Amino acid sequence: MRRTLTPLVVLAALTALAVPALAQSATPPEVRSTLTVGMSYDLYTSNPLRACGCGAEYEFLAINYDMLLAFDEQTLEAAPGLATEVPTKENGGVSDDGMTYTFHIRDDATWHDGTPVTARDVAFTYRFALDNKIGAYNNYLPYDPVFETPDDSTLVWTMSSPSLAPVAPPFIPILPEHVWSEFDGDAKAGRQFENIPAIGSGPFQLAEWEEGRFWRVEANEDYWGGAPKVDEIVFRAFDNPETMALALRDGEVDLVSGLPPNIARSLEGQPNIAVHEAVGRTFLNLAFNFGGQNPAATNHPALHDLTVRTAIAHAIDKQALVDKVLLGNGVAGTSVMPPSSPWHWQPPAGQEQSFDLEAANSMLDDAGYLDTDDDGIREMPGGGEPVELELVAASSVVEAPATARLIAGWLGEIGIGSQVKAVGDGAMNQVWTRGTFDAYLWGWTPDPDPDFILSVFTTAQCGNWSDGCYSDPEYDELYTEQQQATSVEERRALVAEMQQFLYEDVAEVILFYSADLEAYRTDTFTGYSPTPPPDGYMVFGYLPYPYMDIEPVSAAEGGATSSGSDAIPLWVWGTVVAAVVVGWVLVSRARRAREDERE
Amino acid sequence: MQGYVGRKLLGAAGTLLFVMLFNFVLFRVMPGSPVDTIARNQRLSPDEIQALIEDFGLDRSLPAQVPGYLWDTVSGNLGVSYTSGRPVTSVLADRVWPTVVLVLPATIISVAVGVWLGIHAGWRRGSGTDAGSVGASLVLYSTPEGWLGMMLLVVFGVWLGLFPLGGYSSSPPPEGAAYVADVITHAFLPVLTLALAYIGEYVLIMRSSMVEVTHEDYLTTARAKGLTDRDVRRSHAVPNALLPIVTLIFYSFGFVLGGAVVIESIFNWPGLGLLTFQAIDNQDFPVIQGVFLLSSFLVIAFNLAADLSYGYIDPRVHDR
Repeated sequence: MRRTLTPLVVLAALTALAVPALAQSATPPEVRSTLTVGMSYDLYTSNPLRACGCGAEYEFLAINYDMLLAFDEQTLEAAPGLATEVPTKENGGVSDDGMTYTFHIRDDATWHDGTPVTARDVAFTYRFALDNKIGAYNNYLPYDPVFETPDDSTLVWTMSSPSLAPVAPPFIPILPEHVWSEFDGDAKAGRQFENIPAIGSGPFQLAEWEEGRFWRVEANEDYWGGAPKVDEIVFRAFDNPETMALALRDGEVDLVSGLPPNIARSLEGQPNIAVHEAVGRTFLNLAFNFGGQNPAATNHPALHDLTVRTAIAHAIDKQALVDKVLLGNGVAGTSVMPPSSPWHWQPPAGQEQSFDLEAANSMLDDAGYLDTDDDGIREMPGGGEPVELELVAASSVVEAPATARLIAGWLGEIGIGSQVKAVGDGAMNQVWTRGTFDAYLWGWTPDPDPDFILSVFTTAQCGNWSDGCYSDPEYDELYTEQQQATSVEERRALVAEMQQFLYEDVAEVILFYSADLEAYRTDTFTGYSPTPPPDGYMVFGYLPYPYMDIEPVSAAEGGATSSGSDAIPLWVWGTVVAAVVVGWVLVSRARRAREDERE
Repeated sequence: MQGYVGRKLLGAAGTLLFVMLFNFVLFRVMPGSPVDTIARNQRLSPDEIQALIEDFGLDRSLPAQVPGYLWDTVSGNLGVSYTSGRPVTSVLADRVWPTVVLVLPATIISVAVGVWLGIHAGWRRGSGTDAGSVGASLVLYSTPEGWLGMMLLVVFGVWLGLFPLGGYSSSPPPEGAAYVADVITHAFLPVLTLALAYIGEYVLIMRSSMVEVTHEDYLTTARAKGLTDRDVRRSHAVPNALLPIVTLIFYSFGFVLGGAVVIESIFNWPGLGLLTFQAIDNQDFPVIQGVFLLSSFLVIAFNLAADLSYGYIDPRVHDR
């Protein structure tokens, strides 16, 4: 009796499992479009006060919140955001002394909970960042600003010096006062706040986050810039890029970013898949240590000599690095602002520090760096210490160790000895903060506005953000001037001059800007628009733009939306049930046979 | 018997204390202060950095940090994750269940199939079953599990399209019973990979253990009594050959974390292995420390369980 019951129980259990699955696939699919995005990063936090820009929070902040001013979709320059226009002297938004800015806040923006967004929320957010010393944000608010709100739609921002900082624009998500005011004065508690669902005013709202699995944002139908064309976006973190690429091929995800070059290559030419190369924005630098971080800092004295640094710059074949290390997916480097930025400065033809080992050698010969002991390595002028450098490569930047080895080879050809050491981020941070290195290879991703990356080279940043404590009073002067510039044209000229200054003084060698490889399915959604077009980013585009135009293919064609159902196909269940039944029959027949044999 | 249990418990407690202290020292001699890592990533101001240093108790000398550390650990406060700011205990708790869903069925399947194959292979040494299962076991045992997982993913996930490509459930997951089915389809390939990776070891050890007992005198006696071949195997050979397998089963439960790291990474399975991998990547020391503590605890606990179970399986053990 028991024996006949068991397969029935198994069958019943399987049917119980299968029926809801079948029922689900049988009912007409809900008309709900879900864009699924694969990333190599998980969200690290859902709290804007903790956001470090090290993972997917850039994306979360960009689509969940608005800024006072946005970045223009085409040029990434200041554009209207929560403020209806960018204040200028012409439109009366900027006082004649350049110290007072007046912003008009749009009246149709609401928080995700329905409360209207007012000028007071903006003033609160900035005040909060300053009073609670939120380091990620208060850099953007220089010269002791005072924020006044004569009415709900007007923000008056006054500084103690003329500056373009208010329209740079500050890269700060505007937070709702009614949610965050309870943490004013207690930033620690603010940092612990879970913030889900995240109340912002952006086109999407974070609704759900399963750490290590996915995070889901829902479209904000009431967004002042128009409702998004998809109902929700699910971001999935993939630890393994191969699996991510397979998931794209299989249609489980619609859009992926952060593909290694070899995997992107394998996706090219696959049916219904398009690969997009987003032009380089992150650069790898060879930073020299000038010392002075603290008493224990060490560096090689030859690095203080511009001739040596220039010779090193001429000894590096940047195009070869792009071809060999990046497999062609990138651009040779020049200045700290990437070529895709309107702020980029490019050395004029004939003035580039081009790859020329002969020139580099003769420069060093003329400056008196001679190989006096015939070991192939030059000594300091007048004999003495050999010019031997330790090149530290940050192994968290995949390309850094290989690049360092190639550079070491070229340096050998100009009589500069070098040892390559690849270290992880922990050790890298230690090397960097203690200043115990000659030169290192590490990367930066500049903001759309050049202020922050230019500040990195000022004397004031030594021991803080500076790579190797580069310090030059003339450069510092230029930095202050650009901060206090009163017109964009004036500032643009100064920013170009500063980049030229860093390039000619070889503060560091910008090796290359590496491209980011993205891929998407062409049969599920359409309207993918890189920011800025045509070769910008679809993921991590600083702003929500790339997601605003994406719509389901069927909707674009005017048909009904078919959402991909994840229900298990009927025949899988059929196979499982059949296998169990057949297995059971075989086993019981065998057992009966044995029992017969025994009797 | 009581003395035996007492000794074993005391030993386990001592090992645990050592692991806790070792954990403390290990994470404080590693290069790079955690504060440096957070500060660079979050662009903190000097005031914020000072506050962090005080928060993590890093302003006190190492010995002065020990009592606080021990008390916190014992009372279940493992600190907060540097990256997400959530308590480490809740970060770990989120990941335990997926790992159990992955490792428990895989272990049960590999033990059941492996032991069964091992018994038959060892009993009929030199037969076709023996040659086949030993050959297959050697191949599986020496196959890198990451490669095996990738192959299964390509064949069953991409070519045949039978199973989803990684993840614990659909995102977002369905409700109710469909959720269970959803998790099962997602778990199928990783469980299969892990089971295949483990199975070889069980087959080989069970087989050699069986081969060892085949020539024991008590089997000759049993045969002389006229028992059938099957009864000799079942009632006399297998029970005596099981002891090494019991040890292995307990050990493999203890080491579930290590074994699953690669599989969890390939299949994007949000378990403890993937958490370890990511925490190391992010230099999230409190989480790494929590994972180490948990896995050491598991190893110690399952060793203790193995020791205690010997007492029951083999009465000779407590006399020692």
